[in-house]
Amino acid sequence: MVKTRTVLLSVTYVSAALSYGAVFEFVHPLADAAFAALAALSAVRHFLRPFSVSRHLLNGLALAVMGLSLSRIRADLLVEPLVDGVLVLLGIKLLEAQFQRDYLQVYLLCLFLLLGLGLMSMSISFLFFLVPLALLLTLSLLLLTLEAADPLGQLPVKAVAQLSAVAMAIGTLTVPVALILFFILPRTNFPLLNLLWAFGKAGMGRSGFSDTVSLGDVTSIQEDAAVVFRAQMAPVAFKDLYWRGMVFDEFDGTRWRPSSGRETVVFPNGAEKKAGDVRQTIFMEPFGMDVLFGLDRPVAVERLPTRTRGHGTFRVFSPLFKKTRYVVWSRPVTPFVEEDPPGPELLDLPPSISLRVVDLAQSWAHEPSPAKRVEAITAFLQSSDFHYALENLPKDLETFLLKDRRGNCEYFASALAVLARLAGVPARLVGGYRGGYYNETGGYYLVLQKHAHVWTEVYLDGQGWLRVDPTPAAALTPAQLYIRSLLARWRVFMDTLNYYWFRIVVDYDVEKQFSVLRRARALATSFSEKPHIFSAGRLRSAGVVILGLFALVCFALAAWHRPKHQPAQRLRRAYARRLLRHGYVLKECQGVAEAAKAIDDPDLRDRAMRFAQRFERAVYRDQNLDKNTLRALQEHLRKL
Amino acid sequence: MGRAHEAIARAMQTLGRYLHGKEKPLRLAFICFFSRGHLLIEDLPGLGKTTLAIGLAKILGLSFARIQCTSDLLPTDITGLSIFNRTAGVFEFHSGPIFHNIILVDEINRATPKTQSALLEAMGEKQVTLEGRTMDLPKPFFVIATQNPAEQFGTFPLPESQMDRFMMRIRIGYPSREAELEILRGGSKRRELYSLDPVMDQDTVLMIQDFIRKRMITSDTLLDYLMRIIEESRRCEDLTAGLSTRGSLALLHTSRAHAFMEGRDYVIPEDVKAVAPYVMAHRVVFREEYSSEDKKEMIRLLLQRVPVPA
Repeated sequence: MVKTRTVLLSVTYVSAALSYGAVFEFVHPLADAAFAALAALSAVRHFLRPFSVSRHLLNGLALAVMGLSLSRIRADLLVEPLVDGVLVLLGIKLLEAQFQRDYLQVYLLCLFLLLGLGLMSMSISFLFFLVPLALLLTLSLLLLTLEAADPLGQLPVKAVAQLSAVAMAIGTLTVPVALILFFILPRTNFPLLNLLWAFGKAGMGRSGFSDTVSLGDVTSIQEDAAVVFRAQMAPVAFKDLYWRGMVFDEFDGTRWRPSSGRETVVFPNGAEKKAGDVRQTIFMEPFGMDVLFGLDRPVAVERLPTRTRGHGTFRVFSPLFKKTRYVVWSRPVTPFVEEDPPGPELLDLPPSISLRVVDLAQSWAHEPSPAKRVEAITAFLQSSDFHYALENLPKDLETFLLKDRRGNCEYFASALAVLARLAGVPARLVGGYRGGYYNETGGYYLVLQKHAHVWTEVYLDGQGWLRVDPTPAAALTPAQLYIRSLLARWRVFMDTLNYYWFRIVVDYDVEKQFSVLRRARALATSFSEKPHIFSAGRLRSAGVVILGLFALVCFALAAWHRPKHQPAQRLRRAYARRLLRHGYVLKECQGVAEAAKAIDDPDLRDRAMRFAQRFERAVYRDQNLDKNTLRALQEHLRKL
Repeated sequence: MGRAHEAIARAMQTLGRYLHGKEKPLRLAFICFFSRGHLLIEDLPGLGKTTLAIGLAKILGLSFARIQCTSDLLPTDITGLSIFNRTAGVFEFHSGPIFHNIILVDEINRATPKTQSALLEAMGEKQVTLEGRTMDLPKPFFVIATQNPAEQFGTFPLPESQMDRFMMRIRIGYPSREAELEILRGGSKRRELYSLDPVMDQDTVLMIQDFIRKRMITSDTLLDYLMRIIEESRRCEDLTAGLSTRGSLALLHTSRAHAFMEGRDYVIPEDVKAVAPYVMAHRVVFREEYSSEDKKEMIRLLLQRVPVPA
């Protein structure tokens, strides 16, 4: 026997903890602390030592909290303050919880928090929080009803399990309806909530790439295991696995930035493709970047209007704050011939460049051709003197080249570009990602911020732009290190779920709706008109599927029927539960009247006997439990 | 049937005055009687067995006879025999004590097996065959046999197979302190017992018996419960022999009678449980190691293993 109230409180706390866990990573530390303190205080109040709290005080506090969080709202920080506020309100309500309405408010706040998660993250983790929370809240409502009907009542542990089963059943019942709604609810092609997301996201500003590369910049990005994009495509050789994002061609001595130039707008019209071009469908995570990535090097982007500078990089017109899907066609050949040869500005170097570096570059001046010079410089950078490192990075290029000789990809790429320019070869930096984990199940590359990378492109007359990656190939990059841990491998494996969640649920828009409709119609017409189009194999597999479904239905029906008891047995068990509430046990071997006679309290015994006699008369005499009898018996039970 | 219940209640009440604190054996005796069975009382002498039998006969308006068993008791002493009437020149049948409605067979274990068999046959068949003539015994016919378990010397204890002929075996037991004090104070009222006014007549008794046999409602659920008990008794490891089919029938009939005594026209598991210890204990064979245990208690344990349906 457990007190209904204890169960109710426990379930409420678990619900609150679950919704807190859902928004945990997004809330302000202060809100965190406030919620934790309030929750701990309320736990003391409800479970250890009851003390009274002034509702007026709490209401005032709640108003203050909401005022504070509303005042924090800015155009670029819309959702987070509200979530913070709701979280603290939840803590206050937990402390206050006393009447039925308080509990209902707690549940509502839990739902609000989950809604906040839905606005802030589009990961499948939403589903993992939604399902248990829905079950818990249903269970809480059931318990709340019980508690209201019988304050301070007790429940056998078995009854709690039964209630959970009921909650589960109710939850399961809603699934078909939800599915139908999901498929038929009208969608727009214009993302209504885009604005909200944009405002909500900008505050986070978790962009992996800025439009400059300063030395040592990528390092911080490489610590980040967040997903940047997923590229659905056939696997390609690792040596070709460069994801091109931006081109940096201006160097001011410390940082690289893209030169300002005229951009042309490209509409997704399906540019000319050649044989050997690779098609990728990229699912971008909303990081607020306007850069579109593609396998080096992209030649056309479908589905999105873009602007381009003509060196294989594409940008959209506004930063992406929602999950975005686009198709990229890439031509993974290097060197690559661009339409316009590079201008002389690609040899520019700032006057501040160290003379010692210029001297160093002179050592390759005697090489006969630009290609040889680049080869020699690359060989120099890849010699055993240079080491890949992520920490204690040198302060500038000169130190890197002449003294420390340790650095990450930015140092190597910058060094190569600077030395190449000094040697008279046009060179520029390309930023993007290198590598990715191929997911066999989903057939896509998973690219994390850890894969961030910078490499160099040099222009060779008559050949075009040649990709040169001077970063030591054997070095263990953060991405490679990361994948060595079991947890990371598990995460990458589990990412398949996220991928399908996005593809099937988040990305389900009006276009997909129509395509499903079209397919259904096509199927219907083909059924009615041309039954012969089905080959024997198809028929066979269809038969197998139908048989399987049939078996499943039979199994489900059997499972459904098995535990179904006769109404008499159900009544008997309900009677047993009632008796148990009064501390009497109805043994299996006991008849209901026998158990009733054993009750000490004469009043209770009378009531039990009334039920027992009616029950036994119905079961053993009339042998028929019609509706009226059932109702009468239940009435007797209720009076127990 | 209301009348019958009223009469039974009155009979119980009246007899209760003479049988202080013996309501339970009296009740069981009624149940046994109404379910057309015979009763075996296993107890020490002087605890009111005879009073019970006489009271039962008188209150029901039935004829009563007593057979005191000894080792030289002959079968004809029970059934009666033909004696030549010299005046009429014919053999005249002189009926024995068995031609009565209620018969008290005292200390049945002192009679020889031959006599016992004659008696038991009469009990089973409810008729007597003598010198080629078959004679029906009166209806109702109810034997109360007593057996003294303490006395071993020169007795012929009933074998198990013959115990089966008795529908119930009960004990009377010592009266409670208050009841015995009352008896000591007022003295024996045996004589008054003979002048009791009957509360019902033979026809009513037969009607009640018929009602119990034919009109009591026994649902399938209850039969299921009965079968569970029977199966458990046959499966039980403490028993070498379970309940026979005759035993099963006895259990059913006595349960019906019990339900009737409770004022119901349908049988519930509680009825079965109430009578089972008295019906089953002398019919099943316990393992050697349990021979000294309280057998009724063991039957109760057996019943606790059988779940009540619905």
